[in-house]
Amino acid sequence: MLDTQFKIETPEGIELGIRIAGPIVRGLAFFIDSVIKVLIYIAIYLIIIFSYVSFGESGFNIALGLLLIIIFLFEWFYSVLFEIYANGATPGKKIMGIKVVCDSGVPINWSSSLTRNIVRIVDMFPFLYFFPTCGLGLLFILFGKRFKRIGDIAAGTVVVYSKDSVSTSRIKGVEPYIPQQHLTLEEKKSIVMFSERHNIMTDSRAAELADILQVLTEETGKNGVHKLHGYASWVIGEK
Amino acid sequence: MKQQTFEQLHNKFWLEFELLLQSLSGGFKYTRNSSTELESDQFVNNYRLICQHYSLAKSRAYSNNLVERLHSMALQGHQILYKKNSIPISKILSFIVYDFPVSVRREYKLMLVSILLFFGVMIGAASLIIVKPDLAYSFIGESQLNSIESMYDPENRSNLGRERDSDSDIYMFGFYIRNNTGIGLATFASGAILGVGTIFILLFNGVYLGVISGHIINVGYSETFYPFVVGHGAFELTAIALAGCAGLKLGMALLSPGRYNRFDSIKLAAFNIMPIVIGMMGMFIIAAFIEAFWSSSTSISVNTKYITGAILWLFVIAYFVFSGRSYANR
Repeated sequence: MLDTQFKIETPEGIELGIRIAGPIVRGLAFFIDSVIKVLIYIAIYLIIIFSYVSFGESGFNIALGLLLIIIFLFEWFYSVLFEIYANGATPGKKIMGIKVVCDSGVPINWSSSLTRNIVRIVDMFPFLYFFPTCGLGLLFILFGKRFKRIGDIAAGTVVVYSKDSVSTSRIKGVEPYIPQQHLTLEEKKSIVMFSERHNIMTDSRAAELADILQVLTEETGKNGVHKLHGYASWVIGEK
Repeated sequence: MKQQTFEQLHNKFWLEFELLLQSLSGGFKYTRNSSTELESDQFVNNYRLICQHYSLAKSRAYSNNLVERLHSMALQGHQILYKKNSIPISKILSFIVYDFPVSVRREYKLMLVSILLFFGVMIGAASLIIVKPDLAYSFIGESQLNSIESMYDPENRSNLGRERDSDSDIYMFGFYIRNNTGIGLATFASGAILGVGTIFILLFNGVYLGVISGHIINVGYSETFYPFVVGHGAFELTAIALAGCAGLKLGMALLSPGRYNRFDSIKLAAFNIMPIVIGMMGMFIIAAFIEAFWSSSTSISVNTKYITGAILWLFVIAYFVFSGRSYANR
């Protein structure tokens, strides 16, 4: 299947699937983070002006020195701080619903976080401090595996969606209906999946899909859909 | 077993586990979350059970809804269970006496290359300028050279020579931290471009500093220049060489990955080199502190500065040569 999921195997012997975030959603997250940083710089700048007005040149110098230290920390370690202490997501990533994890799917650690955020300067090359990973990084994201920029490759990390976005729910209380033909496991599963997606499809689309199974249901349109829901509730074991 | 029965059997347990997951993976946490709940075997056992339910549900082709729900529980449990601990104080100490110097010694070959590229070129450039003074102007523009000259002109003490107020010391401290540490980090990071970026930054800074050192001797301002740089130079210049070493390691991991593929190779190199990068940042901050509060002070005599500078250089060298050796077999 053509999708952005990749599988990791855990020590417990199960396979977990994670959906990887692409360049657009990551770019937007980066943009939000940049806005937050600029707002903080402006706030500090106002403090400096205030300290110049109230304490004269000496207050100005001290404030400027502290500002430079804070800018340094923000330039390099803003993301590190959030990735370690806020479950792998900077505020921008959190808003976009994505986060950073290690290749093995476990939360990111100090050394990986430091690596990916220090190497970011190379990803931005040659458009330093411009739109996200606009330079080398974007090339690597587009042409490499798993949407990794150079920093991600060096750190062994991936940016993933923190939650599956589409939520489905089963129709409750439909009369179970035993199909007349034998169904394989796969076929049963497809029918249940169809039934569970009823809330994200229009009625006409559902009918259109149900019509494909006319051979099985011997009904068309709305009645076909209803019968499929009946099969589904039989498969699941509703009484 | 029909899915309905399976759900009825375990739903209560799943709801409890989901609640536990929610409480364990909250928002911004400073420390490792409520460890009592984690350390009890309960969490681990429940997590294993969830994994088991997940694979059962999958192999019995239960509905996507259920499989997704169990998957998301297993995934969250997995991330909580394998979360790394925060760093205790003892680890910081053992980093200073052991991890940092040992990592540097492990990469001694690249460290020597880096020293050669940076210090070697610096000394070479300085010697060249002493022999042929006019060449200085072809490396660095005249106006820039003049402004550097005036900074160290013993007659013109208004600039550097004046005893600065402590507030401008703090300003310079911030400036040095941002500027110099930034250069160090960029030196390391640009190693990811096959090492080319690192080599360029090392050579560029080597030539630049070498030309200035030579030129200062030519114009006869050694008395103000060298006492100024000797103290923090021990940390700052060494830190640049360390950043170079780390960057070269990244580059080498790509150029000659050995038995690994290039992705694993750079991953491994970056992990192994991290102590050097962290230590390098620490050294830049120490250097910035010395440069802002000690080197620039004029109330300290030139001799005191030379002696202190020599002690600092010896200390730094001895630190990298000897520190952590007795634990090396650990």
